[in-house]
Amino acid sequence: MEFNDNQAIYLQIADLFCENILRKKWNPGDRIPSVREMAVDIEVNPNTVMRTFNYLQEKGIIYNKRGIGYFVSDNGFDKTRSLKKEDFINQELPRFFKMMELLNLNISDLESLHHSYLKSNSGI
Amino acid sequence: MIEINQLSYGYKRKQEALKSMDLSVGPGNICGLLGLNGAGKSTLLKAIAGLVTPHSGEIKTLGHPPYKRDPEFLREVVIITEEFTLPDFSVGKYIELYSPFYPRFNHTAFQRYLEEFQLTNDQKLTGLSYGQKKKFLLSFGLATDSKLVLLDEPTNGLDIPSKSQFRKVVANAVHDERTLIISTHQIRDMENLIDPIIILDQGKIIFYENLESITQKLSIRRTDILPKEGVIYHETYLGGYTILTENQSGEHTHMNLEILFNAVVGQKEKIQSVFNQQVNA
Amino acid sequence: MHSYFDISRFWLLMKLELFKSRRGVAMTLVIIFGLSFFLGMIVDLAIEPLTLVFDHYENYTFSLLIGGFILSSLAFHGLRNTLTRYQFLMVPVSAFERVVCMWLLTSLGWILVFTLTYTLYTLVANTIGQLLFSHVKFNAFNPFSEQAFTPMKYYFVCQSVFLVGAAYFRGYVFPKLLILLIVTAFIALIIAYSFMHDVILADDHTVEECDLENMPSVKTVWTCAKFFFWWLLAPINWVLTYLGLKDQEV
Repeated sequence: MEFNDNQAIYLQIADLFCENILRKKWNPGDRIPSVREMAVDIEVNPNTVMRTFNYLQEKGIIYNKRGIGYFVSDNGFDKTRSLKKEDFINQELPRFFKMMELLNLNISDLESLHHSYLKSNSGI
Repeated sequence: MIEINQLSYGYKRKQEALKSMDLSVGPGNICGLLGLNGAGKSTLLKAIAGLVTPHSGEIKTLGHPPYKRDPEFLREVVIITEEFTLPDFSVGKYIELYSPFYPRFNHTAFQRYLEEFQLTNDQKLTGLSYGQKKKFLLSFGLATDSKLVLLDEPTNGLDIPSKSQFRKVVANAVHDERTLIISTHQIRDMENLIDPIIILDQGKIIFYENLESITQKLSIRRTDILPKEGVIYHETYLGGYTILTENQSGEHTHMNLEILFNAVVGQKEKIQSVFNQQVNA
Repeated sequence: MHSYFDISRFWLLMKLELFKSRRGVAMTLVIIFGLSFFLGMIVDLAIEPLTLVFDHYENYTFSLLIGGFILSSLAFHGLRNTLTRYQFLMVPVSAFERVVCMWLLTSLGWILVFTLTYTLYTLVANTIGQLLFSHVKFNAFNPFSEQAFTPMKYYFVCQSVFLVGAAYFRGYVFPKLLILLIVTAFIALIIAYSFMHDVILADDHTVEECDLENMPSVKTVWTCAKFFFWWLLAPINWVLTYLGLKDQEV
């Protein structure tokens, strides 16, 4: 896993989890890999992965079955989507708007770009 | 696991390598021990392992005074130093002779580590390269399931794929009853592995925090203009600045350990005052 | 007690030490038998054609002592430098177990192994010798004879000195200890001479020629020295070895 320089690692791992849920790699009710498996896989301290698990549990995205492991909540998909949406609006968009300003792009430019994006990706 | 009170030790009486040090380490951690050359890191590891006897102060490792080198203590401690020698046995013979000293030696785990590091049982220890020897010692040390593993510069001499294998093996080997202390200058090899961070300077511990509290109290970010206030430490980066400030926003930023280390060593008082503040509810 | 001595740990240590020393012991034996055969027997008989009877006790004594002393001084070889000390000191055994183990191996173990192999060697050496020197009578070597037993006793006691050396010197134990012993012996001689120099000069006698019965003070000293040698020297050395081993640092 490649880490970026902006966010704390436990949050970056949470992003990875969220992506897996949004891409339906992990579905509601699925068991997700254990703390140790994740830690070995992405080469980080198990405590850090534990922090990710706690964070996502707090957000209601995953839950813990004692002695068995962690599972994606029944409404995990929706919760993940609203969490990511919030993140996107609070973090990504301000950066994006700043860039638009710098490059002198306006919302109608975006509209046509978005239109052609949808067209070219319609097959996927 | 480790309780140190006012510990002093020096090779020469006047120049003490450890000066009235206090330290307490619990189980279930991969502690990173950082410090400039000569800060006393190796001496501290030796004191913990019972390889030197302190001049004054108290030290207890796993409930034992380590310098007495009680066999029941020794079988729970493994130290892998930067330089070492190995006997002229094969890997298999070494395991046959040394593993029975460790009551919980895990042969399955050992074989897995060997495989991960691409070593085999019939290889002769004296015929291995430095990096391979180190990987062998790491495999053995971690497979003992000893409660304490002390590593001095473990990634020195490891090739590029081995560093990643090292992180995997270590992440797998730590558990609730076990602590690893890794002394290193190769901060990038360990970046997401070590937690808490212990920083040593001139024989004293000047910083000892876990990542959770570090990310809560400090943040590191990039800016184009250097703010006039609030910057504890900064480095220039591609025409802009990487700044370390107190965490005001509550956002948890990535902790670049190199910058954290430089800040702690360079701005000791400022950093300490951030961590010593009373949290106002 | 468990932290000082544990029998299963002790056997593990024995096994480990035996395996580690396998080459050293094999080499020592080869050198000893080579020297005993070529120098101690063939050359000896060749340059002294008048010898009619040959026996092995002299060679046995010499090789038992020298070979054993060299091996004993290597008893704590792991202490020789900082790097090996780490390995040595971190093995989960007690200092007491180490001392007992090395004492058993280098003292009783060496006497046993060496005497056994020496007996076998003499069988071969006598056969070859008989072929080369038909006029000489080769006496069989009897390991249970007084002549073999006396050097064993001396070895048993003197060997302890080399264990002490092995525990205190870092590397090159044998030469260092030899120099130390020679210097000590020299000083002792000077002291002895200064005490008895009246006696020696007065009658123009050597000490051995003096009638000890008539000199109670000399006799007492001699008895004490003998008692010290046979009953105290080795135990004191064993304790010293233990103390030296206990307080090692890297």
